[in-house]
Amino acid sequence: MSILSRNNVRVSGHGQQPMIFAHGFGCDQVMWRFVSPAFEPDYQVVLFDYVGAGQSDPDAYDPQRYATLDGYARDVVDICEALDVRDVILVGHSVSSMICLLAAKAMSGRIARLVMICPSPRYVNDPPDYHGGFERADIEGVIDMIERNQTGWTSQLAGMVANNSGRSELADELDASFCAMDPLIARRFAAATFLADNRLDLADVHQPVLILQCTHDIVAPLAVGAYMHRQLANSTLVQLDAFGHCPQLSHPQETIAMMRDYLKRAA
Amino acid sequence: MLAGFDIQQVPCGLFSFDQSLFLLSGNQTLANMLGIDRAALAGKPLDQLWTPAMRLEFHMRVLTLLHMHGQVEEIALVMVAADGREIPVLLNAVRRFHDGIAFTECVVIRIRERKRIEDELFRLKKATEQIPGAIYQFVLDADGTSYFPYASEGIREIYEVSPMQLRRDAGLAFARIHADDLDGVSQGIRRSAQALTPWHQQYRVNLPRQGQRWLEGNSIPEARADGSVQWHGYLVDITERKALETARAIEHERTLVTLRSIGDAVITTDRFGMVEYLNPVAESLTGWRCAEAIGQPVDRVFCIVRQHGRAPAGNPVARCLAEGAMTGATVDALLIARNGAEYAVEDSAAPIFGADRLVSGVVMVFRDVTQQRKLRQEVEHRSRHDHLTGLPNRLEFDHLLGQLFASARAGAAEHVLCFIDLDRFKAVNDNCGHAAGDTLLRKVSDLLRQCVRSVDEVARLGGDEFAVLLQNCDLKTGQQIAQTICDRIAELGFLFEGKQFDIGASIGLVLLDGRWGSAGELQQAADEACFAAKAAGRGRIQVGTRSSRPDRAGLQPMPLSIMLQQAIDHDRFVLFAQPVLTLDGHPGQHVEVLLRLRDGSQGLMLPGAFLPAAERCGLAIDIDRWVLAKTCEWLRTVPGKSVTSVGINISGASMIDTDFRRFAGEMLGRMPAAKVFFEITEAVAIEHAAEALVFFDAMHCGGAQVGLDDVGRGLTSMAYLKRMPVDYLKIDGQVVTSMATDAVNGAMVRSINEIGHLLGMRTVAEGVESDAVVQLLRGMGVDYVQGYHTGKPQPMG
Repeated sequence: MSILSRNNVRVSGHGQQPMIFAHGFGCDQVMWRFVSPAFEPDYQVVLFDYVGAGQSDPDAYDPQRYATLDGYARDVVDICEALDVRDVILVGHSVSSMICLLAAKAMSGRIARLVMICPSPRYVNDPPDYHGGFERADIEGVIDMIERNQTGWTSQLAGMVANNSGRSELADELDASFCAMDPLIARRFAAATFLADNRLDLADVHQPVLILQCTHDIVAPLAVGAYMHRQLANSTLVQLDAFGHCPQLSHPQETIAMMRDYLKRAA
Repeated sequence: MLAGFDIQQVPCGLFSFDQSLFLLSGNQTLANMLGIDRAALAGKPLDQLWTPAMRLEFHMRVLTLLHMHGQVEEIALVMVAADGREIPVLLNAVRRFHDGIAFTECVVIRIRERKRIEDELFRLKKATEQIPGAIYQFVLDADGTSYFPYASEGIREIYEVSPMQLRRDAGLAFARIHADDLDGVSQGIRRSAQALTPWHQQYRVNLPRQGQRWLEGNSIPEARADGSVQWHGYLVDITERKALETARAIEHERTLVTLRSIGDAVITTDRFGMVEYLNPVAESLTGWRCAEAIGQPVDRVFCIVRQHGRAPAGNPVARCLAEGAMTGATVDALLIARNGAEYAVEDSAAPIFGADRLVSGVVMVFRDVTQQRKLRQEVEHRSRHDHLTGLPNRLEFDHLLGQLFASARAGAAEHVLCFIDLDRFKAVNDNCGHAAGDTLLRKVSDLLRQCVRSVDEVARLGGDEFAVLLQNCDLKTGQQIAQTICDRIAELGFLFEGKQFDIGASIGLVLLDGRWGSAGELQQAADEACFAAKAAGRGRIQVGTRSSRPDRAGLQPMPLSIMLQQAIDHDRFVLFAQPVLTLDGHPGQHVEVLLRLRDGSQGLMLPGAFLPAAERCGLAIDIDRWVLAKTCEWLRTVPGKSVTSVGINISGASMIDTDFRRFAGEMLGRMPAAKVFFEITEAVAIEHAAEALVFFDAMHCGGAQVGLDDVGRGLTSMAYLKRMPVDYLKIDGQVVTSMATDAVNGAMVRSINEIGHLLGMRTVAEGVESDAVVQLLRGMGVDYVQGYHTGKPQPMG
């Protein structure tokens, strides 16, 4: 199976420069639906699902490869190579910020710049100098819950399909799989995400980086945004008015505006 | 608001929050759940409602869904109360806009009981995942669609698909099934659905990671009102088991084919000695069909007794089970078949060890050795008995004497030993031929048997020499019996072609009591007494004593050793030559040198009468020297062409004697050595194999040839022949004489001849006394013959 169907890669837009959107943990490319269309007039927009998420090929899931973020970074590299794209803008949400950072290091020639939305190099606190926001026990709680909450999530999805019967079949199909992750894969992805420590990877990044930091994001607190900014030599930190951890969903317009503004200034 | 509906007190928590994720308000029930004042709810950060783990979940998944769909239902979360207590709840939420401002309304319901059940389900699920294989529920709808509402995590290994994938469509699982097995599986499911019978199938799947695997499925169907059928069951990977089964089946097949085709009978039993298997040979020997024998005690099927006495023989299987080790053949086993037939068998049994190193059964192998055993008993009997008379021969006599000697040494018993030498027997042989001599010998042996008591033994020691062993007999009785023998033989007479021959017997008699040092000493005394009786004028009895002095007053005959020594000194020995003829047409004058001793009355004694005694006296070497010297002299005097070869018998004592070898070497230097053939008896060559090799080598070095004499007399393996570097084999006369009428002896001659030829040796048959035998020998390809028929011994010029 080709990389493009393996990762359910979808390419759109009229521009020359590729802009690749990488979804975060617990979701898939659908989470970009309020943001990515805005860039289609000026960019070649690339959406995809990581293996194990969304509409990716389930047979391609290799528990060993995807036990760490490097396996996911390899997906991004594979896609760039399959599309043979250069001068790429990599946009990553949450954990994908770090995945894209690893991918950019692995193929720095192809990547022009990175946009990181709510990034965190480490979720677990490392006292006294680093405050990631969570204790290790909290992370274990999440991982445990992801495994056991299978039933709840399934009924959730079934309910949604029923309540939205007026919509197109395609939308239903997308909704049915939206954020519906195989519990075992979700559990591994969660462990890879929330137990990762990518602080050392922040050094030696040559590409310019835009950091979009939300107000009141308990997943990636302000202090973490500030830390990222300090560690990344060529970075720009922009704080959004948006609350929470998913500004591309809760505050898509502000997210679009900040990205455009940054990209315009960079050009 | 509905009448009587109090939003503050409804049995669920209600609250709303704004875009900044702060609570706008909450009802009293929520305040009670959290243990805080209702007024404090407004303005409280939303995140503080949840446990830290739930905050992550809420932001990463719940809010995402809310943004995407505007609502969520039935999300299980955990709230945290003011006192730290955790409160499991279900959350329903919907996003609303009011005056352009977005906010979210939420309902939370406590789910303590559901949480408990969920926890239990979770534990159960975790535990079931440890079971190899997968458990599942499978549904086939009336319209033909199928899916797995539930499959345990094990399905990831079984089909390499996730439970979630199968929940929607069973197609992914069916797509994994091997093309050749797909129809079978589909039909199996259809049959199970129609008849509502359990589904049980083994089939192959092709998996992306693991490749081809064998699966086994088991499940029970249930028909539902909507026309669907649902199964509950499990699937296991049986690839390893299948491979093992296949390997075992091949192994089993190979074993059966082997057991069917081997010539030996095989019976296997379990560890209780119950029959598990018989191969066809075992079936035909025992008379039991395998199917009938299975489960029977092995001693019922394999029923053996001792051939002699027919006492029950211990069953080898029982012995093997008791000892836990391989057992050798049961002695003298006779198998009684189901139909009463009897087979002499040779068995062996070996334990079969299971994986736990304990004996799990026994395999017994046996062979029908009826023919071999008959033959062996026959051959054994022949080796101990004289073929002509049926009397025990010297070997058997030595054995019997040994027994009596031991009993005499042990205690009270006294016995009598007589050596009997016929007088004037040679005249019959010389004048009337060997056949007449044989008839006479048979008559004498019959007569001897008549003269002794039933407990006594008569043996033929060789030539015209007999022995009688009188058991539990005093000297006086012995003398009476000996006298009877003496008289009866004297009366016997022998009439041949109108000619009357007077035969007599000289008897040496000794009392076998506890005073003798050895059986050899006893024989020597009897020998000497017999010799003395002959020397004293024949036809009489001489009693020998320990001092080797015959005690009959007045006669004072010389001890045998002195007499033999004198015979050597005074040339009382005479050399005879018997012609050896070629059967292959090669010209040549071959002879064997034979020795005779002149006795007092100018009669001639055959070597059988004095050589054993000479050997016991240590005079054999001197006699051999004498013979060799005389032969050497003779060879020098006869014209070269008149003699091609001369065979000379060498005793065992000479063969192993270094001085004799040197002497023989010197002699060979003085005569045409190539004409000299030294003969050693087979028995001597085997007994002194190492020395024999030295002797053969020495004689070969001297230019002479060597041969083995009396081959086939003893019951020895032919294998030793391979190691004997001899030039020819002389087949024993006793075997040859009767070969025309005795198939066993015929076969013996044939095999000795063949083995000799295979080893590059020439063969000589002795004792040829009829034309029929000559023809047989010619047919077999024997090289030379000698005997009374082809040429009698004549005095050497």
